[in-house]
Amino acid sequence: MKLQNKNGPLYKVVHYLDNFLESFSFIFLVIANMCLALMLIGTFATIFLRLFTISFYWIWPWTMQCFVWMSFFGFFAVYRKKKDIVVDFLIFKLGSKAVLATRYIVPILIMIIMGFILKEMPVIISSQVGVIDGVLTPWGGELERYTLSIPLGVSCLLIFLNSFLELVKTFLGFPEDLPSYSSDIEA
Amino acid sequence: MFILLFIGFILLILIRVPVSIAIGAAVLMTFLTSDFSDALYIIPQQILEGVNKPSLAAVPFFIMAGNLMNVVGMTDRIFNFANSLVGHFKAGLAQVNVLSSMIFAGVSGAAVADCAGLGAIEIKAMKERGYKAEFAAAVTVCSAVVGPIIPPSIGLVIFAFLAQQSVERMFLAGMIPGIIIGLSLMMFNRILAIKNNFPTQQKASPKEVISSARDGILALVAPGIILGSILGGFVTATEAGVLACVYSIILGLLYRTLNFSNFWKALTDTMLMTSVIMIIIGFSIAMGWLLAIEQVPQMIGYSIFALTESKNVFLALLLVFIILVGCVVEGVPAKLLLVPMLLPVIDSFGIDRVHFGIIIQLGLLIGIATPPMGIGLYIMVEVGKVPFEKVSLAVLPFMIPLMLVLILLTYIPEITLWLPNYILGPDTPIN
Repeated sequence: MKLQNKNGPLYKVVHYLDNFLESFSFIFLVIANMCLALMLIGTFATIFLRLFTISFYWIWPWTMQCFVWMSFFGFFAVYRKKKDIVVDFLIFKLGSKAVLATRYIVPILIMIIMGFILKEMPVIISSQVGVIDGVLTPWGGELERYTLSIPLGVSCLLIFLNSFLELVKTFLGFPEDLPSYSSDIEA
Repeated sequence: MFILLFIGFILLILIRVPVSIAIGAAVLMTFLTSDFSDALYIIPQQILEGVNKPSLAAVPFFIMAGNLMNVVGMTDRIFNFANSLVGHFKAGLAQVNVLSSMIFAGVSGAAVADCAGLGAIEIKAMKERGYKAEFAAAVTVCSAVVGPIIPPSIGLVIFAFLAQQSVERMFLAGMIPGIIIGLSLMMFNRILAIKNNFPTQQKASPKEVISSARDGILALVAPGIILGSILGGFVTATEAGVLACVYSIILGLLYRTLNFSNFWKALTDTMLMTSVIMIIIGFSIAMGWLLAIEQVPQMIGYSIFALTESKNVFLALLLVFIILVGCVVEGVPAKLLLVPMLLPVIDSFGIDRVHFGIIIQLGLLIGIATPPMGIGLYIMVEVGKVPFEKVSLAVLPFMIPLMLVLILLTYIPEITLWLPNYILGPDTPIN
């Protein structure tokens, strides 16, 4: 099935979903960047305050919390922006049919892996009981342990949807959005 | 089991499956065919465990330091200083390329930041001076190998975590090998220059050298600040990474080259690269768990001992194996696959883990300049606008000095171990 009518309802649905995922990707990217910035600020504050023999024991646990969150929120942004490492020259050498085949195989495989992680998430979350030592909250007490894995679950769900959208786009004949090998190159 | 895991992984990456998904799929396949097929929750559990490791928190900061140096223009200053110093040598700009990478390596922990940041400046300058684009790209990608050997290095932080070694010791171990790699590339450039009559340029006057040194002095002292603060015991490796970032930010503000837009870009690039690395580490930790439970490293050890009991023969086999793996698997996942499996064998042969760390780091790094998985080559295609095949061929001669240094480092461990043992005393593994 090739893309026939750019104003058709299916086309509109695909674009709506695409924009929806793009918005989430931006939100996740901002959150992950904020986590990284907080890691930087927190660790620098530790070094700086050490000069005055002042220390806050909650800074390091929060730094690690931000590190985990950054990795997991960034997970979706990485897939949406196609920033993972991909070897594609061999498939391109094999011709357009091989390229088309991989446009189906890769999203299906990603959906299988993400689906499997999502299936196991309830077990993981239920096993993460108790609080994380030192991750103090402004409203008192410490953050619950399961908060570490929630961004992983949400990212996996969004990557699953993104891969499904990739499949639909390939089926409808949308051109492939090829990755750049490094964002630095764009500078 | 190992064969299924490894072949499955290679096949998947060759059909355009992203590396983190390929490793995840290979791990899932291996779990499904093991006795743990009904305990698959272990995989996401281990991903969480793998990402939540304090010793890896240094990784984003050493990536960020390189990215910040690029966006605030410190790379231009390093290039100008190196140019005034060695630009008049035979194959002047090729030598500048190597020297710039060595200086840049003292702040950045990733070869990619070197290729993409310095590479853009170096290739442009070399093309303008009449060098062939593919030669310029080849020198750039091969000199970027120095980056993750000279401290700080993300690869060495990851190895230290895997092999339970101190980051400080690994960083010191990389120092002399990194300098030797740089010098060997410069010597090779000179040989090529004499043979091919490469263009030369006028020698910079002492005034010009002083001027470029003054311009770049704040960038040039950065490596000393980072390494000095770690070795002096003032900061941890993670804190040293943060110091490097804050230092770059201060220089950016001082030079008036840092604004919110390029700071955000550096932050985004760092976050994306770190996320990829951490997800790969997460899946690899799950795989390592299964391999350890199934005693695969021990089985590999027995097989190797059945093959040879000679340490020298083992080292030769190890080199060939690492180089072959490096050609098809990117450095971080390759290290995560191989280090836990090889450590018992390495210990049995009485090879120092720090020494092994430098061998595997350099062996796999050479892979950034070899097809099909040479990430450095792909960056050169974009930055230098050179066809993949051409740059792949142009890097081949540079494999000679890189391989010679690798052999030298493998069979003379003192080159690697002298400095860490001299400064930190004899090795005591962390438990």
